[in-house]
Amino acid sequence: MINPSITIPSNPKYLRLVRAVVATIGQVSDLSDDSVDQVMLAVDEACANVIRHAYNNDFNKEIIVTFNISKDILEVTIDDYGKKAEPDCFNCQPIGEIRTGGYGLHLIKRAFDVIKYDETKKNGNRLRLLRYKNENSNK
Amino acid sequence: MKIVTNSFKSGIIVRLSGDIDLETSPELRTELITYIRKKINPILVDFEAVSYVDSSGIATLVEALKLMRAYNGSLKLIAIPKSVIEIFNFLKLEKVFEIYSDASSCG
Repeated sequence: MINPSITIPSNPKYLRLVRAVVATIGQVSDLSDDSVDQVMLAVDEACANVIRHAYNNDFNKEIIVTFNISKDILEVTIDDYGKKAEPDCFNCQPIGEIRTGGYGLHLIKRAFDVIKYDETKKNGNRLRLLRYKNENSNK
Repeated sequence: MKIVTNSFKSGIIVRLSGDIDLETSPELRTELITYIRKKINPILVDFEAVSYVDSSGIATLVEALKLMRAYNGSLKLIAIPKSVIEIFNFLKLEKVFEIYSDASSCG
């Protein structure tokens, strides 16, 4: 089976393209409208993190977003070839505090049940985001 | 994103339209900082025609809020669509900002 995917330059102006694709994928996956919005925002945030942190705002690199749609799970995989993510990058700061960053991770965790890096990837990062579509999901 | 700014009472109203994301939030930040440096008060930000806000947009507004507090300025957010206010609520920021349904109810 061929999984749908999109490859974009690491330029923020292409994030809207990612959002449009994710919105369609969410509809194809039979997610509710609210869930589609949450997943779209989360994938946008994850790609924005790649641009800022993995590629240090170099807009001429590559981001690959791949979707694996099954009956029970929507999996989104985001590949880059930039700097390795820090091991503590999933540690959230408390919600509700007045600060000028750190909100994106909360929005990613809201949309997906499982968030993890594929540690077997040698060059760059492969972020795997899984959302369960059945009662096992807490979303 | 488009930005249209007009005077409003003793301050200004910044009307936004389109998406506020990693591409466009720097432009919003520049606009707000320009007026904050002049200690304009109040600054109203109108979201009626905004379709999308990501965390960089939220962070831009939080930064503006903090900077305005230094001179007792007031940042008021108005006409935030349901899909966007839901993000403020999730991040527990709905009580951090002054949020109004429209400009006439800002006082």
